[in-house]
This record gives sequence, C-alpha cells and structure tokens, in this order.
Amino acid sequence: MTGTVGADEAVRRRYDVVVVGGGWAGSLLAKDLGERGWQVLVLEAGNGGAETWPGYLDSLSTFYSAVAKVPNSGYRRSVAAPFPDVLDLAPVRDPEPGEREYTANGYFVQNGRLPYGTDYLRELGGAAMHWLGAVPRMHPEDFATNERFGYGRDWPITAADLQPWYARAEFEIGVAGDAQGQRELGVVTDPDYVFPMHQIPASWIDRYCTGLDGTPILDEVADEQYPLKVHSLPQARNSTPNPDYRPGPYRPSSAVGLPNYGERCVGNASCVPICPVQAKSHPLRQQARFPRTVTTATRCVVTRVRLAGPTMGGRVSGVEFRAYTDPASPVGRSYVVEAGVVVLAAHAIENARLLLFSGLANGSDQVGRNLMDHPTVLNWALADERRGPVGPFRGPGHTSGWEVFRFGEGRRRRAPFRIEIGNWGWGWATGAPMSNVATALGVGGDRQGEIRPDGVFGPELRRLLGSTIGRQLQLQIAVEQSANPGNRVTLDRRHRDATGNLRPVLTYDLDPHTRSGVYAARLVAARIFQRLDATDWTNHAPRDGVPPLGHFTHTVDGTTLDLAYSGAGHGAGTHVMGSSPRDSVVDAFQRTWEHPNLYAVGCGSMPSIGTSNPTLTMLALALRSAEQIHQDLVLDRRPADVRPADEAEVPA
Amino acid sequence: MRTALALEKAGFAVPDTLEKLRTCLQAALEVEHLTIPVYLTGMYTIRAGTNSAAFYGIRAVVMEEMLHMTLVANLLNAVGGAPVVDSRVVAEYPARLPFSGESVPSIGLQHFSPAALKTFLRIEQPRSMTPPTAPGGGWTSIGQFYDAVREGLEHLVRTLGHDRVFTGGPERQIGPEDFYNSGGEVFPVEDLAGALLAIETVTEQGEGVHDTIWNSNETFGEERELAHWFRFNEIFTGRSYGPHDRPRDRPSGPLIDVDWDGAHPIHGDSKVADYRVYERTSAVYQQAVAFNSRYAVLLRYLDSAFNGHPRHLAPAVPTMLELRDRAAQLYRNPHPDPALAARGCFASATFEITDPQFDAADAEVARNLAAASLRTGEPVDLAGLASDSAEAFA
Amino acid sequence: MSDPTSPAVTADVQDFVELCVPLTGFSEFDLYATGMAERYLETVRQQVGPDRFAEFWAAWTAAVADGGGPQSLSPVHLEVARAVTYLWHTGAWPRLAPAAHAALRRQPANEEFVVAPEAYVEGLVWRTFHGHPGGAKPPGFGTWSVQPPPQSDILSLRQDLGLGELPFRAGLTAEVALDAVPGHLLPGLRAARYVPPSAVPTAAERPDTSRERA
Ligand SMILES: Cc1cc2nc3c(=O)[nH]c(=O)nc-3n(C[C@H](O)[C@H](O)[C@H](O)COP(=O)(O)OP(=O)(O)OC[C@H]3O[C@@H](n4cnc5c(N)ncnc54)[C@H](O)[C@@H]3O)c2cc1C
Ligand code: SF4
Repeated sequence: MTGTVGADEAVRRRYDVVVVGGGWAGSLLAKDLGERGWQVLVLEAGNGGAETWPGYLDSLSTFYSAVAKVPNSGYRRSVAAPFPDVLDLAPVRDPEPGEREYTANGYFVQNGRLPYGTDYLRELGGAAMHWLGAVPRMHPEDFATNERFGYGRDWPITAADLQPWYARAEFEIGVAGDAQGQRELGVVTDPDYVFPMHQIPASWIDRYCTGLDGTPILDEVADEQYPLKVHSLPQARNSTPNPDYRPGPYRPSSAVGLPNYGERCVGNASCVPICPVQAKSHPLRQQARFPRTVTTATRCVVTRVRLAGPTMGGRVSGVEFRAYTDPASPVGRSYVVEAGVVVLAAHAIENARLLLFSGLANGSDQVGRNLMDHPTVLNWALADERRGPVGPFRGPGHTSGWEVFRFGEGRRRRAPFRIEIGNWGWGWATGAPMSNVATALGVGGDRQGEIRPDGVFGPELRRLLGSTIGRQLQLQIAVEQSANPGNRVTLDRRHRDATGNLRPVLTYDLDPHTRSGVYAARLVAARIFQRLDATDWTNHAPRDGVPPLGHFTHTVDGTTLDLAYSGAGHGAGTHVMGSSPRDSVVDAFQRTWEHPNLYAVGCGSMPSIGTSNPTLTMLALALRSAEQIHQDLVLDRRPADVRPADEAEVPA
Repeated sequence: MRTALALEKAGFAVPDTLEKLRTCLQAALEVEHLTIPVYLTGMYTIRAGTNSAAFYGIRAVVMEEMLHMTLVANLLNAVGGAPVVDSRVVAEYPARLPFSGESVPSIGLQHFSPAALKTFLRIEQPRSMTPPTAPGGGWTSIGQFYDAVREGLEHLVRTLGHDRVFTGGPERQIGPEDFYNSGGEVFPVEDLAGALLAIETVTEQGEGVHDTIWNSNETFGEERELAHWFRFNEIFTGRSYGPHDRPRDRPSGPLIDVDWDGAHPIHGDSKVADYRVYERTSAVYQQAVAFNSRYAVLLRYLDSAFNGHPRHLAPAVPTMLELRDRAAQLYRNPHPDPALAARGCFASATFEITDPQFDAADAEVARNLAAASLRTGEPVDLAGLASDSAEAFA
Repeated sequence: MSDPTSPAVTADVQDFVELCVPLTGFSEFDLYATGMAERYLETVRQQVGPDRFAEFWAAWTAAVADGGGPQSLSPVHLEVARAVTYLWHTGAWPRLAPAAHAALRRQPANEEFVVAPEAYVEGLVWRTFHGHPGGAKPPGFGTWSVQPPPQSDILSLRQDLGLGELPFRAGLTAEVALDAVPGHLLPGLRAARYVPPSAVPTAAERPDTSRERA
C-alpha cells in the first residue's frame, strides 16, 4: 500500500536502510530490501498525491491546461524542493561569435558553452512520472568503448554480468518487447528469453519506414554504408502478456489509485508528459507494493549525509533533512535520521550535489564530473504527398527505430546514434499540430508585428491541416555522449535555492567526437528522408538572429553545418563507477569507495550510456546493489563468532 | 432480450436439462447486457470537467457488467453452449428488468440525475433489501435467478456426471490476456468450482458479499471495492461509505462532490425515428444511426470472441472507445426537435439496432477479422484493417 | 442547466456556431459536439470586448452572406477571425498580431492561454488528420498500426458543409497545392520550449534537399 508518514513519525526509529529519493531507483531498491525484511525509510523531497486517482487527475488537468506541454507541465513548480524545467532556458538574440547562445533562468545555474537542456522532477515517483518508457538494454560493446574504440570510460563489469539483472528489472517494471529482434542486435543474449509482454504493436509510420529495409545509407563521417532495418523498441508499457514468459503468467499492472484501469496502452499518445491511464510503468506501482517494512516520508528534502565518528572507519551514520508542509513556501524544519546503510537515489545531479555538499566520497575528485546526456537531434519532413498521410500523433512516442548506427567501427570516428522513428509528428521540433493551425491561419502577425495578409480558413484550412499534419515525419536521433571530466556539477555558495540549499552549477559542452555524431546523424536523416521521397524541412540555423537552443556549427572535411540538439533527460555519470578508488567514486556495486555503508545509485554511476535510454540499465544496477546491501547488512548483523552449540554456551 | 423475456414468461423453474441450463445462461448474458446502455447513458451525459467521482464510480460498475457478460459467456461455453450476441440481446428502452418481479418499473435511458441514480439503485438492489414474494409465484430477483442456475448446474453435475456437463473446449474460454481493465479478473471456467466462482462473482459484485457493502474482488488479490448498489448510493447521497458501514446504514464517510447540473439533460425515450423528422435541419439523425451501426459492430465482435476466438476482443475494444466518443458528441448536441431543445434537452444515443445494421456489421466484422492478425498467444496486430474502418478510430 | 425552462442552446450560441462552420471547416454537429460553444463565445467576447466583437460579428455575417469570405474582412477583423478559428481548433486563445492587439485596445495581456482543460481535449485540429488529442480520447490498443484514411478532398468537404463557392483564404490567389506547400504556411523550429504554438515562427523558404549544407 502506498502510504506516507510525516517527518516526526519517520524519525522516531532507527532504520536498516535510508533511501534518499522515491524515484525509479529508490523505489525498486526499497521494495527489494523491504521484502527481504529490512526496515527501510524512503525520504522523498517532493510532494505526493499522484498515487491517489483524484491527485493523478489533477496532474492530467494541469497538463491539459498548459500552453507549453513540456515534460513537467503536469506538475506545479515547487519552492521547497525546486527542480529544473526545460522552460528555464532561453536563446540569446544575436549572440557575439564565441559567446554563449543561451541563458538559464531556473534551478540550474549554467556556465557551460552549451546548455544542459534537460529537466527532472522532484515529486513522489521522480522523473519517471513523465518519462517515455523506452527501455532498450545496452550492447556489450557499450561497456568497453575505450578498449574497443579508443574513447570514453570503460565499466568494471560487462554486459554478461548484467543479463540476469536486466531480466529481473524487466519483470519488475513490466517490459513489452520482441526478444528475437533484440537478440539480432546482440543486446539480449539468452537464447530462450522472452519479455513479460509481447511487443507494443508497430505504428503505421514504422511500417511506412520498413519499406526501406535493406536500403544502404551512407554515413560519410564513419565512411560506411549501413543497411537499414526497422527494429521494435522494448518499452515499459502494458501490452498483451506473452504466454511463453517464465515464470508466467504475467499480469499487467493496473493504475495506482484506480483498479482495473490502464492494463493496456490504449494509445493516448502523451506518455511524456503523462499517461492518462497509467499504462506506462512508473515507480508508484512499486510503492503500492511496498511491504510494511518500508516507510515513505514525502516533503522531506535531504540536505546532508552525516559521517559517523572518527573510529567508524569512514562509515556514515544517517542523513539530515528538512521537512516542509507547503511546496509553495520555503518554510521547513530540520531533522536527523540514522540508519545502517544510506542509499542516495536522488537522481544523478542531486546525488552529486548531496555528496559535494556533504564533502564525502570525493577522494578521486570525480564527484559531479562526467555529466552525460543523450544530445538528441530532431529531423522533420513531410512524407510524399502522393502516398497519403502517415498517421502521426498516434500511439506511444516511438515504437521502432533504426539501430545499425549504434554499433561497430564507425564509433571510432564519430559518436554512435540511435534513430527513433517518431510517432508524434513535428510536435517536439515545432509545437505541431497547434503551431500548424497558427501558421496556416497566419495568426500572430509577421516579424514586425503587423497583421499578416495571407492565411486559409474553413474547408481549405481543414484540408491543408489534414495534409500537412497528416504527413509529418520526425526522426529523433539520440547521440552517445561519453564521459568527459570537464562536463560537471559543482556548487557555489553564492547560488542557493529559496530554502538555502546550494543549487547545482552545471558546466556542459559536447566534445568533437559527440559533435561529429550529431553531424553524421543529421546527414543520415536527410538521406533517409530522400529515400522516402519526403521533403526535409529540418533547419537548425538561427532565424531572425535567434539561434535555437543547443545550436552549434560543426565542420567535417571542410563542410560546415548548423546543428542543434535537445536534452533527452538522461543525466548520468556524476558519481562514476570504476575499478579503482583513484579515478572513480563508486565500486561495481555502487558503494562509495570511501564510505562502506554509503551507496550512490542511479544513472550517476554509469561510466557510459551507449545509445540506450539509461533507466533499464540503472534499474538492473540498483537490483544488483540491493542484493549487495542485503549481504552487507547480513554480515553486519551476524555475530562475528558463533561457537558450535556443544561448546559450553548456556541456553538463555 | 428475447431469450430472457421468454424464459421469464415461462415462470420460475430450476433448469433440469443441459439444454435448459444453456438457455438460462443465454438469458443471463442478455440480462447482464441490458444494464450497460443504461449506465453508459448516465455516465456519458456527465459534462466534461464535472462529477469525476460519479463518472469513475459508474464506470467501475459498467466494467464489472462487461466482466459479468464475459464470465457468463465462459460459463455457457464451458457447459457446451454457444453464446449468441445478436439482435436477441438488444433491448428496447424503456425495458423491463427480467426475473425481478412485477414491482420493478421499466428501465429507461436517463441522463445523470437523481432519478437515474434511483433507477440504478433499483436495478442493483440486493436480495436482502428486497421483500420476498409469495412462494410459488414468479421470479423475484436476479439473485434468485442465479440461485436457480446454480442449483440446476449442481443437480446436473450430480446426475449426469461432471464430464458430461463440462464439455466445452478450453480454447473457447476468455482469459485475462484478452479481456482486461475489467472489474476483478476474468478467468476460464473449466469445472464446477470455476463455474460456481463465476456465479458468485457475478452476484456478489452486484450485491456485496454476505451482507456487507464490499464485493468479492479480494478473491483476485485486488483491493476490495464497494458492491454496485453501494457505489450508486454514494453518488445518490453525495457521501462515501466509511470502512465500518453496514449495508443498511447511510454512508458515513466524507462528502463527495456531486453536481446534478453537470449533465446534459436528454429525452431518453427519443428514437431515431423521432430524429428522422428533423433530418434536414440536424445531423443528429445521421449520427444516431451511425452510433447504432457501430454498436452492432461491437456486438458482433463480441459474438465472435465468445465463440472460439478470444482474441477477437482486440478490435472490439477500439470500437467501444469509438462509441464513447460518438455518444459524447450526441449528448452535446441540442435535441433536433426545437420544442424539446427549448426545454433544455440534448440529443442521445438510442441503442436501437435494426437487422440491416446487423447485416452490415457482419460484413465489416468478417472483413476485419480476416485482415487483422489475431491468433491466440501471439501479438495483437490490427495493421491489416482497412483504412475506411480506421476512420472510426479517429 | 437541467432547468427545463432554459433552452439547450441560446439563440446567440446558435448563431455563433452556424457562422463558425465556414471559419473552421467543421459542421454544426461537430462544433456542438465539442461541448464548448457557449464557453468559446464567452471567451471571444471577453477577449475582444463585447462591442468590438459585435462589429466583427456583423462584418463576418456580411462577408458570408455576400460571398466575400475572409478576404473581404478588414485586417483587424481578419485577425479576430483567425483567433476564433484557432480557438476552435486548439482550445486556446492565441497571441494576436501586436498591431491587431493595439488596434483592438484589448485589456487582457496578449498571450496564448488554454481556455479550460476540457477545451484542449476538444480541439478540432486533431480531427483534421483523423487523430485524437494527445492525452485524451485514446482509440485503443494497437490502433496506431492501422493505415490512416486518405486525405478528404475539398469538394466533398464543401459539399458536406453546404458551403458553396465561398473563397476560404486571404492573401492567396489559389488553393494551396498540397505537393508544394509554401514554407510560410508551415511551422519552423521552436527556438525554445516556452514559445507558445501561436508564436512559433513559420518555416524558412521551401527547402531543397541540398540546402542541408549551410
Ligand atoms: C522527458 C524525459 C523522458 C525520459 N524518457 C526515458 C525513457 O524513455 N527511457 C529511459 O530509460 N529513461 C528516460 N528518461 C530518464 C528517466 O526518467 C530517469 O533515468 C529516471 O527516472 C531516473 O530515476 P532515478 O530514480 O534515478 O531519479 P529520479 O526519477 O529523478 O528520482 C529521484 C527522486 O529523488 C527525489 N529527490 C531529489 N533530491 C532529493 C533530496 N535532496 N532529498 C530527498 N529526495 C530527493 C526526487 O524528488 C525524485 O523523486 C526520461 C527523462 C525525461 C526527463
Ligand atoms: S500511448 Fe497513451 S496509453 Fe499508451 S502509454 Fe502512452 S500515454 Fe499511455
């Protein structure tokens, strides 16, 4: 049962484990440890509410009312536990050459050359309340890019180590997918494995693109021809259960707060920001299954991890937190809670912030460094008029992709990329379909603010919209960004939030390898559009002196392109895992090298993120950590020395 | 409603042959369907943005009625029968509630209102609240009807032997992989235990378990929920039940927000023939006919699903969702009769289905089922559907 | 509202709906079916001011009656006609051309806003391409695999709506050729996510495929 307690009640006890953050990582880990009998406290900075149906409907209606339907549009801003929003970033008109082309006016302070263009959410459930739910596994070569291709950081573990944990994570969150297709790609290796649910049906757009199967596409940066093949995407979304799943049968989860609802994806086509029926998996489901051993306290912002006394070998004793009642006000009260193990699961950037502020785990000077995301290049085109509409804005955000550009030797020359075949038209790039209405009507005036002379109405409008929206194709291409110590989170005493906590200061850029990946991706998309006889309307150049966010130019072999990327929400790398305390923050179990009972879990531990959306890998790691924490605790709690029964102990 | 009405007319009897048992179950299927248009009308006449607690309350009951239809179909299949979903199940509203004694007034299509809720309460009235009629008389309640079915079934199992009663093929059973979002969980019926559980579920979700306000969903490891009568009583009284309330208590929990003005008033007895008079001035006629045609399609998908092709529910669900949108559109249009519109009436879905509509539906259903890929155990793939019927999915 | 003495729709609303058919391209049935007619009329009156709305409405009524259509409206009225159409299609009141905003001496800020949560859900734009609003009216599992129906042709649209020969464009000499849609009728890249849909710039000139090399 989802049930939360107040701070006063939460601190009355000592816990085996305190988990900081009730998002995906924290929820899965807390449930696992709670089921093993440990007393677990989850401290969540954000507000709850969405675990009740009226609360969830409130989010839905907030989203309906939002003009800009951005990922956080279902949630109100919070003063007590502020979070970043993609609305915080603004382009700079007519920037001087070499100067920053953006300003950041929200929770993040940003001073990098390029913007870190991504949000997260501090609410019960975390960023997963607005994630898409794309959950591909990482490929074996993604774990060793340095060894194989000479760039990035390598993992202390391999894909093979993670396979069983992947499978468990896929069960826990409920994944629909085509295992055979994933085996072809080499990311699923077990020959008998099937996902709990059959793949989410491919969209008509996917099928349209499947027409290019076998067509070779030149990537001139990699200097290689790649034959296209459309592959189905594994998704954490309710689908038809697969009867071959073992141990079966798998029963899709209902919405939290409304039984018998959301047991299938019904094609609301709004998974980001919010799935109205909760067919998309999210951590409130795990929380609804928390055993009694797990206590959850919301509106508790952890401010510091406490180091135990000098005789304790670097162990931590617990955390300090501030509890508030009104998210709109900075007023709160401080508390301390103690635990045998502290787990930070507050998101890559918040974990780093907490470690930096607490002055812990940073002997390697790697805390906060290696911040990564998947810079995402948007490409948009109108499909061939003669072939009719393609059916955009239907189904989940994307259901298939082109995967060949993710792997192989091309990675030496440019970052690899994963092409998502978008199902939601030009929505992300241009604000379609609403913006189509505006431009077809000519509302809003021209550059000078004068009333435009031209526009269409009535049946002509309906026909024009039907055609120009109905034929929208968009390829979102997620490019791998590798670990770079210069991309980092730092703290600066001058920058605080309203409650006095230090805000994250981000320094972010794309290195040449990544930029070449973005460049190659753009050209590949243009070639694919050409092959589809689609008209490519992609244009990332500044308009009227205004550069789009994430704009940069990049030159390969003497050709320069205007390019731009969006953030993907995949913040990672900030407490990087490694095989030595000298150059990494956590070990292969996400345990900080310096503090044996302090874990930092989440995408922050990942040394690389390949071209896979990171959450599944993160959850596999979290389950693996839960197992290790269990072992730690068992060892801790067991008497050091148990003599055989016949050796003279007096029964009590 | 043909089977049910005929059976009712014949008077109270426990079925003593397999054939009679099957007839009873076909009648049960028809009765379970009878209430669906009534509840849907109450639900979809709610104005957008109002009465969300009432909306979800009614919705939960509708979903359970659909579950009941499916469980009854499973049961009928299990005993070697073949459910029929065609003109036979269609009722003409206002309709009589069969097996309920003479005291129950006929049930019409009504917009969300206290009067509608009163009707709903009467439909779901638990046996414990119904005064018994004189022995030897006709049927007194649907509960009593199901008791007779149970008795007959047990008797047949005793006399014929289990295996001579449960002769239906397992491939005809609908399971949770095809039927979802239902109240409780649908389960295949393969033996007497399953059959009794199905009957128990159908009666207890309506009436409550052994004189409590709760239904039997705990059986399925789900959260317990209120039985139908009590859900409706919450809406009717504007107050929710507290955890310790007993069936005869007034709800004692927190208030719920019910706004009787948040509804589109309708004239529920309007028929397409009435709309036709205004065909030249209003598209309501055409749209009301279209609604009924699509409803025929839904029923024919169900027929196919209940007769050996559980996966044929896959195209039925989108048809249901299409009907949801079409119904809402009708309820928001003023009644085409200016006199009724002047009195505040909106148009409504009539749920009348003619034979030509069934014939057209049969053709479409056959074409679509041939085109889609809907094999048991495999992924659902609707891609083959022709785009003229995809218009429907808009 | 269930008061039997008040009509289902007032004469004002009836008139509004009737003359919004040639603006939106949707039938009266479809417009009523949104359930938003009354609310939209109120919104427009409020946004433009009751007197100016009355002037606009008289002008539009005349433009329909005399067969002139949108192109016979004054520039300011043309912008109001656009806003009303945008409202029906998206559920939001748009940002107006600043010149029109000034000429109308509007009180409210010139900003886009969504009229109500249920207004977004009832936007007509989704139906122009046989879609459904993102986040509402879901069509069911697997329906996104089905090929969408073909583009409706203009003649039958006109016929169905009973709209005869009225020209439905301003500033354009002919119907837009669907295989060569000019860039200024299409949206371009949003420079930032906060840019509301009605302020998204139009696309740059029609791209030719070699243009990708800047
Ligand atoms: C728009 C968008 C789409 C995405 N789509 C995908 C996708 O398709 N596939 C994929 O794999 N990934 C996706 N992601 C990424 C995914 O959402 C994250 O990887 C995942 O949610 C991270 O989970 P987490 O538990 O580590 O952190 P979070 O979800 O951020 O949860 C952290 C929790 O900790 C709480 N917290 C923070 N600070 C404190 C504090 N000081 N004290 C107490 N509690 C605190 C927060 O409130 C939050 O609840 C997407 C992200 C975005 C933004
Ligand atoms: S497509 Fe719709 S129903 Fe499916 S997961 Fe996304 S939002 Fe939910």
